[in-house]
Amino acid sequence: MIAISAGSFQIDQIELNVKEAALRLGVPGEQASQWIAEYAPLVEKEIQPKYCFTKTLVRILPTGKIDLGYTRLESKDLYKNLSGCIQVYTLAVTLGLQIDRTIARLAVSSPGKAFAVDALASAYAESAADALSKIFREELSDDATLCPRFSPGYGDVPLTIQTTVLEALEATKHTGITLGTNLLMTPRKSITAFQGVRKL
Amino acid sequence: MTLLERIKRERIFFDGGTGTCLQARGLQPGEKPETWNLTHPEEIVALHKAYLEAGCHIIKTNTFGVNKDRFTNARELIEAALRNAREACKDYPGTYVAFDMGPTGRMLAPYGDLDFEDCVALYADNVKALTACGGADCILIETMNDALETKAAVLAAKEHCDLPIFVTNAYDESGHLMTGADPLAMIAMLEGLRVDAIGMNCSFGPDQMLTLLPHFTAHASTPIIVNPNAGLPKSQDGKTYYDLSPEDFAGKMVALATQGATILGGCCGTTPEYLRLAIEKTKDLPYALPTSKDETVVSSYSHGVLIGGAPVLIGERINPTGKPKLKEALRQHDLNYLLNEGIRQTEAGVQILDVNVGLPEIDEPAMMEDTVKALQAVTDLPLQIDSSSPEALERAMRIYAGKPMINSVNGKMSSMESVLPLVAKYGGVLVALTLDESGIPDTVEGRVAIAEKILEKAKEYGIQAKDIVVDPLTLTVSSDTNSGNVTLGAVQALTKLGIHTVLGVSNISFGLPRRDLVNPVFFAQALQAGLSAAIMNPFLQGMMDVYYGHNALHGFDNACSAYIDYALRLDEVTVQSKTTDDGTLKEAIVRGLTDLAETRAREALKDQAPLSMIETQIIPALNEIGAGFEAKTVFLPQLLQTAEAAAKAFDVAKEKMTTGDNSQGTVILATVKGDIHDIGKNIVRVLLESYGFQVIDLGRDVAPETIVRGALENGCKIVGLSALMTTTVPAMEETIALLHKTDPSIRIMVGGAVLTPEYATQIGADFYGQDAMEAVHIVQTFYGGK
Repeated sequence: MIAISAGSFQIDQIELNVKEAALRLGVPGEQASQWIAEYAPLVEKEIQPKYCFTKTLVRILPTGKIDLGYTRLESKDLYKNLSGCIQVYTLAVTLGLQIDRTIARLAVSSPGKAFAVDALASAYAESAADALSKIFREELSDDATLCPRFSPGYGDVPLTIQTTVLEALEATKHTGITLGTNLLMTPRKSITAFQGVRKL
Repeated sequence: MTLLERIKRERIFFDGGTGTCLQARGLQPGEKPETWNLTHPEEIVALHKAYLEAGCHIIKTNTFGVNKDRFTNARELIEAALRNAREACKDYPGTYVAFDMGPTGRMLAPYGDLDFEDCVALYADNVKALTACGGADCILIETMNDALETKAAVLAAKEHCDLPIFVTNAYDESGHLMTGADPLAMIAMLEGLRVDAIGMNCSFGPDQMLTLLPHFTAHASTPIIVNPNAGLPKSQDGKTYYDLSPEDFAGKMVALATQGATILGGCCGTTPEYLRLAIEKTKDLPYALPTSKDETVVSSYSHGVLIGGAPVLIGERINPTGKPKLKEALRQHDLNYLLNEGIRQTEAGVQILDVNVGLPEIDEPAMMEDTVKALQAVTDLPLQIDSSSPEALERAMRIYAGKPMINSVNGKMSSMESVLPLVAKYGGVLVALTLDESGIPDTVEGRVAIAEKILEKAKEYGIQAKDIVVDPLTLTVSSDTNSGNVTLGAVQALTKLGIHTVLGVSNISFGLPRRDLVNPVFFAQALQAGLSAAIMNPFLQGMMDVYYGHNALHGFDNACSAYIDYALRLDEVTVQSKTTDDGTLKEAIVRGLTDLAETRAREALKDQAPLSMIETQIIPALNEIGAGFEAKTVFLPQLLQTAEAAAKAFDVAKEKMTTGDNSQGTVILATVKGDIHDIGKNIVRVLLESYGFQVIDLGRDVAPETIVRGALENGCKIVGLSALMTTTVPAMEETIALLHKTDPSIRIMVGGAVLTPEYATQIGADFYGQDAMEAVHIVQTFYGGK
């Protein structure tokens, strides 16, 4: 069986990635702080970040398939990402449904604000995933390092793997993340990813 | 003894966790526990028996995640699960089988993509299978974390069997469901739906349930269930464990039983040993059912509103009577306009929104359903569904994510016979109008008598007096100067009888000039007479003055804090409007200051014609920022702020323009079928509106036929389509083909992240817009550069 850890973040545990925010807002880096100052309070009031993750052994089978402990898949890109890894974290993190509601409301009453809040919320979701990676990093032994996160849908990892990932993590129960028939997650500001642990 | 009789006589116990126990019996990672009904029936029976041996009274069938979307053999799994449960129970007299239904794992529209009726159908399939396989002693709907999905499951159960229905929800550490509901909201909705027992399961363990239980004992009249986890999940050496021992768990269950839970059990991490100890430790505790509560509560997806304490404000603005703009919006199916009215009233401080979309020339039931769906996505306020059409009422009550207020029933037999059954089925607080076949009585006694008649009739349908609020009717004093006295007298008389009242207060001044002078006076007097709720206009300052003043004077406003906030806010507004004298309208728009732009536009119109203001101030401001955007010195957020400010100024100008010259032309926008990304489309809408074009926004995930219908109905020859995902481009191509086929003179512009000019041509589009500014240029060119 796989062990799942779950929890939630307080807002002060999440450090907004300013570069990411600028990118999402579509403004030059040096202008980002002004927009963040204006809209971050609105976003922070409406998010309840929750996460769950599992840490499993990762093996490459003779067939070339990657065995994550709870499922097996074929992917050259993930294989590359996980090369040299003996363990992998599978994670799900979400900002919750309230921010989706806020963005929908603003889309009606003030689309300009809706755009900025939507963009910043996306940056916050990335930052929440960063906060989770920080937890992983703190758990690492001295002779190990953490790989970059790799999300389903990137490279040759099909989005269909989302079903397996979310079920394995019992993500609906722990975080409220659900999957549509189009394989997109609700709440919208949610991230799933694999993150390998590489031995030095 | 049936289960229903039993729960009203003594404390009884559900079993505990399934997944944890099956893992101990060899369930593999990734293997679904429900499959064991068929592959390992002996293990399932053994687990059930272990719980019965521990003293549990009700076992849950191993069907938590079964539905036909997840399991192709759902029906077989259900049949096997029931067989296993019955097999286990047969040696244990006085035990019961609960048919278990968990969440679908999908989110309902509009946030997810599961249609409400599809969700009901998923659960209905399970209930039909249950009935075909001989039934159970009750249905347990558990671990639900969304109010509307819970309702879908309850309706499926009610519509396909007569079994008792128990419901437990999963509350997070903030005391809410993941989608927002608090216990009061759930209690109101579920008791309205007449389920037989309600409570909590899973979540954060018994300690958290102890903090939430007082909400249940304070507001619930039905037996209360608690099925907690064995504490919080922790992991060690790759294994999950829960942090409470069986002894600790049993200790918490003693506390829960002492504080009023009468149906107990376990969830994740609990085993027969946990339950055995809990049953043993609680067996000598006194037993008491919740008392019957006399509270009038309406609810939304998030919270409940109590009627009968502090007066409740019901916003009246979503009602076409006397509102030409709203009528126009309804005819065009312009939900945005309605939603804005809802959002503005929410911000103005009402607690409930009245929703009336009745117009003779529209399909009212469909419009009501669409409006309620859309409104409950953008406001957390409970809604008052207001219609004289029972069909419109039912369609909205069905998909409403809570316990709505229903406006209305009256004393006519035909009205009572059509509306009361709806309230009996779906739940709701019903507004009862004091009129009947003989009209509106002109005496207090006459109106009270009709109220009593309706209350009596409602009893036949099992509708309690607490779920009826009487509207003794406001008639204008302009035709009968005594009518105010009769209404106020009726409010007083009904209040004395313990009956809650509601009035549409604005009617009092119908036909009089300066109605804003009379209405607040009448409102104050009605509140003084005991009025519980008012359907009113929150944008009239006089009405809000009365409301805050009344609450402060009558002990409804702790330390007068709401009044003080209100008064300070009013002061702020006055100061702001005095000090913002910097800059012209054009500058206000360039800086994206919407409020200032509105003020400046009003001032400008005192000595400038609307068209001239548009040409000399609004358009130059837009062009300046638009050019900056194209030169990459101005960025999207700023462009949007400017566009919003310009649109506001445009609205002000339009108020002064005569019909005919108030629009630069109409554009239809939609995100195509299958695509739920609408940010890009919304940006285009804002820009187009800022340039004075009338935009009919059909929303996202719109079917080709709907877009064609929109174009034809509005005689609109230019349509903008947006798509973000490669998977939805075929839907765009299909829409374009259908539009061109229907009317070759229609021009289509497309945009979105996946498109390129070549791709756009390939799928048959007439224009490709790289960004929102380009979309504006396309439409300007289309309308001849106006």
